[in-house]
Amino acid sequence: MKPASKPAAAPPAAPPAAKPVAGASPPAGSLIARLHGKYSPMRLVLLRCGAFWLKSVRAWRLTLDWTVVLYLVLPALWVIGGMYADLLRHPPAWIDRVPAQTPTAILALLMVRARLRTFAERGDGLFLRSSGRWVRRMTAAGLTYTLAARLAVSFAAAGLLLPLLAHSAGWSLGSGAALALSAGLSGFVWTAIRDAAERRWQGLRRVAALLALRAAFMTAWVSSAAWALSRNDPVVAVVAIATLAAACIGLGWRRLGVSGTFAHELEAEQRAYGENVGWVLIDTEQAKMPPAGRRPWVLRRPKPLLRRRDEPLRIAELWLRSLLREWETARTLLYFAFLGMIALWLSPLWLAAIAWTGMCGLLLLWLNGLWGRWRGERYMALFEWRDDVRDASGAIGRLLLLRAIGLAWCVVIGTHAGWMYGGLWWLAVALLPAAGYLLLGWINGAATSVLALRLAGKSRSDAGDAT
Amino acid sequence: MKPMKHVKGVKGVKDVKDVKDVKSVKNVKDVKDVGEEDWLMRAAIKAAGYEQGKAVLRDVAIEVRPGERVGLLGPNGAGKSTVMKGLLGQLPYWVADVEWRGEQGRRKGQGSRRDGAESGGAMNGRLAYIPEMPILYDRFTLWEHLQLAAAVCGISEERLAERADGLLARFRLRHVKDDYPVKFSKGMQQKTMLVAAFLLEPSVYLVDEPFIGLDPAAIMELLEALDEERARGAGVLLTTHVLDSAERLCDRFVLVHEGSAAASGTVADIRAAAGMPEGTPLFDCFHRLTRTAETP
Repeated sequence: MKPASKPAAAPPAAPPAAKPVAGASPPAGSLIARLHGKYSPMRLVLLRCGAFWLKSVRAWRLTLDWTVVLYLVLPALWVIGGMYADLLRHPPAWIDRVPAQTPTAILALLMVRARLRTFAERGDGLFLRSSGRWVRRMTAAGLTYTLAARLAVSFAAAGLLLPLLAHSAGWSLGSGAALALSAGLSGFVWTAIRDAAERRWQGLRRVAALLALRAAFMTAWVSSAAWALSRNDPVVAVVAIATLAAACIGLGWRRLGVSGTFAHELEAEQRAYGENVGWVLIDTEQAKMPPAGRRPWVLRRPKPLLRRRDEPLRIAELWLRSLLREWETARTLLYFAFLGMIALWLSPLWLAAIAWTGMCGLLLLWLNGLWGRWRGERYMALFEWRDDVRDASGAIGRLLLLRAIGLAWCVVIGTHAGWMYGGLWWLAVALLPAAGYLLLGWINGAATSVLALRLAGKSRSDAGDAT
Repeated sequence: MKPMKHVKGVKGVKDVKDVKDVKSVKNVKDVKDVGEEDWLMRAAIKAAGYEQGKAVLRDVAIEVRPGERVGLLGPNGAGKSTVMKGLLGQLPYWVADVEWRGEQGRRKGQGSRRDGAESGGAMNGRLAYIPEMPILYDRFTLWEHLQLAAAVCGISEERLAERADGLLARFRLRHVKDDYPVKFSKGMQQKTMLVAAFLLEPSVYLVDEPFIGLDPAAIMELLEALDEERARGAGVLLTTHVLDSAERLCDRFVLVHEGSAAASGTVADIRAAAGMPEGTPLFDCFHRLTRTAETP
């Protein structure tokens, strides 16, 4: 049996991947057979890039199955596409009033979300990282991918914005292309800056540094791009693009020479995957982001939040702490609360009352899902929970958050009523939260009873199955 | 040639009332005098596995007495961790008689990760588990891990503060009690699991590969802490394949091989089962028993 031949470019100490196993020939004609002995750093990065996107698409397909695509995604695309086409055919008057900096700010927002990719994998630490040549070449391939991705995103965004904002922003096809090109190059520069900052700092310092760098970078980009566009001078555009290209080459070259980046690259790859699929795989270990700091930033002190200290309250408090520390969940909760406030303010009072009930119901269901997920965490599942403690702590935790948001919505409706009708209607600011307080307690109590019955039914059914 | 089976049956189990008061147990020597009927936990596992109806473990009987260290030994893949998971109520297929001081446990259980509470075997006042790989929650500080364990297992905050303080000091974790354990080193994470388990003061400790990930000082601290717990009357069921340590540490053994008990009892019982003379190390008995089992 012919042993696996080593790739010409690879040093002896750096077999690029676990497959194929040396000494075992893959089936003739298979993809592996074709790749057998032909690995190169670029090919390996390409394969990993393909695998990364395939994995991400598969994760999204978990949520976007054909029914969701058919009944939600396609109609949404149809409607949004129609609205976009309508905007192009009949531009509304407000488009002309959009500030000239808006498109550059949108491009900047897209830029500062990016990170430098290397497609490093944990297994690389076994052999591959011992070869500097392979590491440099793979990093170069990662840098190329990052640049290509930034250019693709910038051109796509500029392509969508150009027809809409050509008039108000004074864009021509040439200036739009120049803006997209410079946005792509600037995006790459940003990834290099971010990479260096993340390697330099950890924890709170890293977060503070990245916030400051983001703000500075966006301000510099938006103001300089607006200035360059206002000049409408091809020489300015060429000089700007040449400078950015030189910066990209310089930063890329510098990055290739940096050593000891493996741990950071692994973390960056994990975060990139988490950002890609975090929303759909929020419940899974794969997409979970480890906490950024050594200590919590939210509710840092162990001081009790609740005065009464019986077991359900202690557990409910721990749930709240963990929930508010999980940024993705806390952010979604805040979005929901604020969007709800806007929706209630914009609705007529009778509709707001109905919407409040519906939104509180939705919130309750969502909080219950979060509670169930938390209870299913491996650490929590290590313990034997008494049914009464489990039900009571869930009810308390849900009610605390439900009341916090539900009562804020009540205040919005009450303020809206006072704002519209004045006089005694201002009493609604106090009366509605008081009524809401009682009503939410009742709704949560009823929901807790129903959930406890469901769990008891499930337990009986499980026991029946087992016997 | 089939290995000689030396598995003790669970017939004749007396009522919990027959169990002596374990408070009188002062040290390991006292513990050895505990009679055959003074067991804390008895498990007769008839079949267990990761899929309904597909047993990877059959006919394993385990008994843990007050103050006793029982070694659950076996080669890789023998089924040691499966026994632990079954006792913790984490297996989907579990047909066993488990008795806790005379309480009749589940005859047949169906584990469920989400509803671990319903599965009836997880950590509580009578059972604490120290896993081989630390199981932690990434948004809890070390102190909050202990708070949750205490709250779920009905330990008051005063008792938690009193007991946890000593344990944190013993395992040199006091200075990091407000840090996230997921950011700790593997050894410190393992110590977190030890503190959480010792906090509960259970009747039986399930300790899975206790020597992995701990530095020598931490191993000594673990053994000392376990000895104190044994003196209190707690039993220890530990899995390991470090046989030299097991021989020194354990009072009795259950040797699991290919999913069933190949032998059980004291070192003398194991030697007899292996047909080895007096003084033969456990390692050689183990080798003989597992090799014999593998011989066609």
